[in-house]
Amino acid sequence: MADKITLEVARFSPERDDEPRFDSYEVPLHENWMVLDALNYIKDQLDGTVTFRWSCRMGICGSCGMVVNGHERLTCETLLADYLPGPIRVEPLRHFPVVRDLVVDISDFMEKLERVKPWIIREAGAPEPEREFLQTPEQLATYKQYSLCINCMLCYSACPVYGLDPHFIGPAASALSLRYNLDSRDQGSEQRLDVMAQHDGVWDCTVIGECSVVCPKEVDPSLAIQEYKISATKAWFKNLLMPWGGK
Amino acid sequence: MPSAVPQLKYYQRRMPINWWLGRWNYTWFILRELSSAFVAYWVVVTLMEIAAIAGGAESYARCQAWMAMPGVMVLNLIALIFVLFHTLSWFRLVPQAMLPRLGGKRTSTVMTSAPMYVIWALASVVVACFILGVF
Amino acid sequence: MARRSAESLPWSLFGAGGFVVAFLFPVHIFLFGLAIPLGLVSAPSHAAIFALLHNPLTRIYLFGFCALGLLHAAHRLRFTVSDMLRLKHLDTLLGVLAYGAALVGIAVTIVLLIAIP
Repeated sequence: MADKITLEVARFSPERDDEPRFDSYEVPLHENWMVLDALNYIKDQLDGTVTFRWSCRMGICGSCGMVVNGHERLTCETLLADYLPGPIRVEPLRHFPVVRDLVVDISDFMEKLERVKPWIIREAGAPEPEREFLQTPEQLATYKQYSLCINCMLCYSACPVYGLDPHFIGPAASALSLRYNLDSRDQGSEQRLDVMAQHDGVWDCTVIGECSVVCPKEVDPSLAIQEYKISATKAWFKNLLMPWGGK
Repeated sequence: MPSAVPQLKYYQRRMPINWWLGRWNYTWFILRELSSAFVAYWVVVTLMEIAAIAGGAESYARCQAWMAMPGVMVLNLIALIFVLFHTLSWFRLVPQAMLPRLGGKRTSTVMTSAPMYVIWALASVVVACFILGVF
Repeated sequence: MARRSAESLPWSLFGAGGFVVAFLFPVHIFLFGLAIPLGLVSAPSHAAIFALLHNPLTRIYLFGFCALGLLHAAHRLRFTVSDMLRLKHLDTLLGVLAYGAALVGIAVTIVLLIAIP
């Protein structure tokens, strides 16, 4: 195996650049090094100005999402050797504004995440529970897959609809929203449906499916969105045909 | 003493007009959606046939001659390929979202698609029997 | 909080149309578009096909076939044109054009089916 590989890293310094550019770095090629290890080598040994996010380096914090050779990846889970002979092009997540180099501004996602109320909602006025809410393994299995989302935003980068219309609520927010609707302890489905059934909620989605393809945790947010469309439609027809019905 | 924080500009990229050519999955998606253009085409052909049949034996014969033109048959073949594309992708994507979870687990793609294929086969046979005069 | 979108209605029609197209369009295109013109199967005589068409049940079937096919195509093409040409801001106009064209097609369908002698 070769002992070196080249990384082409996207650079953008807002204080002096008008547009991003690429800088090339040659890094040692160890057979178990990830792209994240190479980036840290670059920062430690070659060019301390390279800027990027990372934390756990084991695929659970969701910080190190980037675009590697045109595909969304967690760089802590992406082997350098898989890209031989190179070069490896590393770019920031798409569709988010670039702050510097490989760091993007994720505040749009954070706003959407809060908007879908990703927490247990109980009906107002109910008496305080006397003990913890019990949940069977079957009840857990209903929503568990959607709870695995690590907020890495690879799905937003992969979704052309989000790229074309930043108002789209997006895949991860939809999956997390549904995760709570499906949770047996939660009573907030109607409140979340109010958010998701908006025009720029789930209805923007045209089932491209790339979000589910790139998801490193196999959450399948595309399926969550389609399930939401069905829920929203059932509720809409019920409201149309029986407007007197209570919620 | 407040220091002036420089207002740094972020760089916002715009989707290129040919975004759907940039990745095979995106191109496949656009082709899948464009299959609906052939659906519209076939509805127009069907309406033409209805008018031709209703118009009498002569107009029916003219319509059949038109349908036998090589260019039309090539177009129909392309339409059939695209409509089959629709059918196969529909069976893969749609039933999964509709069927409830069995015992908390999502049903596998095979289990949700298989009934669709059976219905498709039955419907096709029944329709063919009606058209070809078996019934 | 704004009202929930009425997108559910065109989407349900798109969904129903999707099943109609998936189950029924292939056999129709295969028979009328290829097998009969190529002589793979013998063409139905005018008398036979006319009798079939004349039947009110056939006309209802064909109404569903054409109307749902058109609504399915309209919904899908509305979004595809918007996605391909980056016209999200013209969504309302595209909707009017697409569903309007479908409704014109449905009107033609109704007229043709009623006018069968």
